[in-house]
Amino acid sequence: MSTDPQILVQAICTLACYSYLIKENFAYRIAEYTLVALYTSYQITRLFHSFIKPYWQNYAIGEKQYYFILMGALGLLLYTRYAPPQYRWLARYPIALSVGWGLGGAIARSPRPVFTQLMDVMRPLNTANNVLFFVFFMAVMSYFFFTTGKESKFIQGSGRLGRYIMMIGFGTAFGNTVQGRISLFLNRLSFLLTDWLGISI
Amino acid sequence: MKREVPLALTFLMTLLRFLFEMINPLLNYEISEGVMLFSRISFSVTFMYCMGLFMGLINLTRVHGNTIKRRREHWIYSVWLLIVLYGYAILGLFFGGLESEAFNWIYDAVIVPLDSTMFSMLAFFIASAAYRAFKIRNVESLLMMVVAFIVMLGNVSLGNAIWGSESWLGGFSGIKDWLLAIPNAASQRAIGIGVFLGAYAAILRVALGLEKRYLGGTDW
Repeated sequence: MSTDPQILVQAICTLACYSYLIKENFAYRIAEYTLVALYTSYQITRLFHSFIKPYWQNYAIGEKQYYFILMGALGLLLYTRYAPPQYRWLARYPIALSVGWGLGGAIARSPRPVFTQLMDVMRPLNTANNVLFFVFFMAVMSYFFFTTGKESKFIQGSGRLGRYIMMIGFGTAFGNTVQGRISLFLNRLSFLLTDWLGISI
Repeated sequence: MKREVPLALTFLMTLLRFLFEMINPLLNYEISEGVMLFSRISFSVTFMYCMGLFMGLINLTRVHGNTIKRRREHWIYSVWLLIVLYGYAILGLFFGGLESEAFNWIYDAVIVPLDSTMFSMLAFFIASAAYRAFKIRNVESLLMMVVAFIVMLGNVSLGNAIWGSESWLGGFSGIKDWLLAIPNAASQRAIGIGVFLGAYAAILRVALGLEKRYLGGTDW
């Protein structure tokens, strides 16, 4: 068994979490509340030391880019949400600026990966797999084609095929998700047995 | 003033960023040697919204402070949460930050194992939920279950032992690869395009001021 205090704490945390599988208990609740608290504090520290402090020191003070002070003051308006109701609307200004900046980026950048994928769909129909891929793609697209969905027998039929194809897609996603979680579980199990208890597997 | 100006600001910022992204000389405009205008505006916006970093701390304090004040059920855990929250935040902010040995020791000893164990527990919840809710009633559910089964077998060595990759159709592993590359990829592409069109429409609604809920309640 390991005598490293860090490994001991890791093992206690892991076992406290898994104790929930028997029933909800004191150890699990402590683990749950600890994770919420530590993660929040970790993110605050990370943001402060990765953005606030270097940006302030390098740009606002170092490069004398004084608009950083104005933007910082605007950012502080976010806290007016906790002020009396007559001042709360001030929080909308930093929200509007950051949402707008993000939206502009999304409008400009988000079509590119989708069009790249669309280009990949247009494969030459020279192999059975390429033909199948195109047929499956069109079938799934037709499932979401509601304009003549009820009237056209063809759209109804291809929509049904599209539904089957989507279920295959969901099945693969389900299988991969379950296995991803199981591999995480095996990783924790391997840690408990090998790193903590020293049993080689 | 309270709603109209923020809506106009959203539109103007959207337009500004869009122009920066689309017009290359504007994107690469140097305000001084090695200092790009776009990067400075981008950094200043990041700086602005990072100023809200203490909102999580304030919200947790308000929620759990109320629980303690009113002695609600499990209030003692809220006391623990606030002690850990402030203790770790003070350690991170004032005693060495991300390079601090104590800060990183706690991160490795508590956050990393708790985080991965919480996620690994989902394996049990997914299995239990699937057992309770998943019944094969029609062709669709049969397809989903068979495919999930094949994908799982194709990923593990047990599947390879039952039906090896050297045998007909490449065994479970070969079928899994085909399922992922053809029907799965085709369905994900089609769904992805639908999702993109919906999301793009939502983005345009917000940018044009047709969608205002992100600005918060109408009572203030």
